[in-house]
Amino acid sequence: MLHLGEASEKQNIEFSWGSKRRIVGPNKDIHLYESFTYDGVEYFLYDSVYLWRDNQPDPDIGKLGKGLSNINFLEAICGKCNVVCTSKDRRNPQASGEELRMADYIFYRTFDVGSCRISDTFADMIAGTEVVHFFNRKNNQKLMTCPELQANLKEKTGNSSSFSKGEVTNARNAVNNGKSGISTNRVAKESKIPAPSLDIFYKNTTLRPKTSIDKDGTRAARISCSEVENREKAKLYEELSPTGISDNRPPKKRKTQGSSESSKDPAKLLDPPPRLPDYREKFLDAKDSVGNRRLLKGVSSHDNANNISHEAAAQREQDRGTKTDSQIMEVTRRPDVDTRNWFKQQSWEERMQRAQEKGTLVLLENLDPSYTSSEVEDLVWNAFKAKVDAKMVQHSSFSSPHYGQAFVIFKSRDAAECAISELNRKCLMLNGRPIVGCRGTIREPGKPTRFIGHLVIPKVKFQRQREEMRDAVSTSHYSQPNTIEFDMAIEWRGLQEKSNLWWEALNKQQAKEIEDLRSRLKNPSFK
Amino acid sequence: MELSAEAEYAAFEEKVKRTVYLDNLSPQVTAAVLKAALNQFGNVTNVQIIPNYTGPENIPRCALVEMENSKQAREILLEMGNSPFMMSGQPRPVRALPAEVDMFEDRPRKPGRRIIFCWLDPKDPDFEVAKKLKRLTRKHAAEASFLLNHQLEEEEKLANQQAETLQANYKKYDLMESVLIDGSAKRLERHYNM
Repeated sequence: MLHLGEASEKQNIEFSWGSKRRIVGPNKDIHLYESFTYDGVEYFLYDSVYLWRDNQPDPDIGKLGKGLSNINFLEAICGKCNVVCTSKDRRNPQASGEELRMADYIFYRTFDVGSCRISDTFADMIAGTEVVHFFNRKNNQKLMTCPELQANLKEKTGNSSSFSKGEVTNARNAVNNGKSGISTNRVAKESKIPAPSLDIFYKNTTLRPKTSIDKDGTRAARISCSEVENREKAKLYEELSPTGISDNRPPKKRKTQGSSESSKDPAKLLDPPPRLPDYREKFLDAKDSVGNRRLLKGVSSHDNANNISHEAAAQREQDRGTKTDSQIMEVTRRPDVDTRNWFKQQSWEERMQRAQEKGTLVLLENLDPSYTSSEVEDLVWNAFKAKVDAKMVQHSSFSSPHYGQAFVIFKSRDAAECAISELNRKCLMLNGRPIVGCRGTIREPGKPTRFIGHLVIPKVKFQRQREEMRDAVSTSHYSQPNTIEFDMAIEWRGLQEKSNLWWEALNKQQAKEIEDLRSRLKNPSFK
Repeated sequence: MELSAEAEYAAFEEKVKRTVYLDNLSPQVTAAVLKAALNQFGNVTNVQIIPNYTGPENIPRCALVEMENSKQAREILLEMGNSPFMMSGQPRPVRALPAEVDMFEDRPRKPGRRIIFCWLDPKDPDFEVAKKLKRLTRKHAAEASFLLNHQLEEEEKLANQQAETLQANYKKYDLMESVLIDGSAKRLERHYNM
């Protein structure tokens, strides 16, 4: 038996600048910072991050860059991403097996957007940034294995990185206002910051899961990395092709992953959540989808990398085996409480539609109508160990007072079907209510044009009356007691009263039936 | 943290009091129409049309309209209770009811609530009853859907009947008008020396 906690959701997103850098140069008004902390995660220059973009269900991957202002808003960052370069380039500090195991994404090639060419070689400058920043960091090794060297690392990265900025307070305000909506979130714009701007270096970084899926759901994804010529705004866009079962962990998951764990401990920070069932290993394979062409398939020189990744996957499976269950039972709230609602830029309706098509939409019934959407999300997390988005169906005068419903979007079709069959096979009891689950279907949002009860005269010959009618349709008014309209309105009220009585009777009877049955439950905690 | 959750919930409860639930709305009624219509009672601060994902598509729309304060909300309830109020069509009036907590999609968690759950497997002594409760859920949903259909039928019946009445009325007016237009009325007037 578990308790769902009721901790309140954090609403304010924290933002603060990290330690200041020595001011160099003549302009004393410009402050340079080594890092900034955003929503509990400390970011340094050239960190790889997940970026959220409009109308994209999956996040992009990008790097924090320098001097590229106003391309992305601060709020686009949803968390750190661990990208490892496996290129054999001698400038690239080779990644250890451990690092590969930790990596969220791996790349080893570049894609030149200008010439549409994939290449194994890295130019010295990519999109105005020295290539060394795309490679692994020199002290990555230490970073991974010895968290206590963090301070050391900070200094090092600090030296090579700097964020400059005009007015600190301004930006801070903007961030605090951020929660009210996207439009006010334009930190970079509002405060005219020249530097702490984020640039998408990798675009469309949805990964293409490899077709082979091992029994544990560990999937391999293929990524290709690409290179761009230095273009205006210096965007390096890498095409990592999207398809298949969405592989990326969603941004909020990311973010909390980062924020829930100490940002002081980089090893931990980068550690993927151990208990996600659908989490998988990504490794590099030679395949590209730019221009929807398959250019290469399997490159022998990188078999090595593949092997390492396989090993890592195997190892991770083992890890999961030992880590999973006991931990989950202790959780009362999902590890990430979604504080960034504005990321859900796709409307809920659209998302449900998509989920319905993919078979990931589930309708839960017989919930307590007073539950909130986040309580349902917690419940699903606790009961199915699945991270989902859920929304209670809003009550109206047409809904039953006894039964609450919620639409739940699972991450995969398997998870959704598994949850439904579990609900059928066993009984998930919530305060004496067994939850009923079925595939969710929502009505096509067609626009009904006719409304029962609004009358239109087919052939109105009186010009004057026609105008009146038109006005009546476009405005609202009270009926005057001496009109036919008023009489008819009273008839409608009569019918409404009548239906109210029907509903009352039905609801009363249903309440009694529920009560009778529930009283037969033996377990006292169900009453 | 705990305190702020309570404060948040209290603020939400205030919002519920400021809000009016309206239904029997035509699909032509948009948020803008609602705002325009209800601004005469005060200041509309927010309008949300409640989406209908599960019900039949021909049920009337419903909406939540948040006013500046609870006094304005009460005013609307009173006024619309007194006289039939038409919006974007007639003669079916709009109905106004006090908003309820469950109607809001963005309601915060009620502070202090604990939800307890457990899985019953088929061996549990309560399993059979729980199963029956599940079936009851389905049965009740079917009953509700049946009653809703019945209500919709009744409404359609009333609407058709009213349409007929209206048409008959217009025919009458039409006849009178044509009599006036084609001069028959004048001829009759002369004929009867009126």
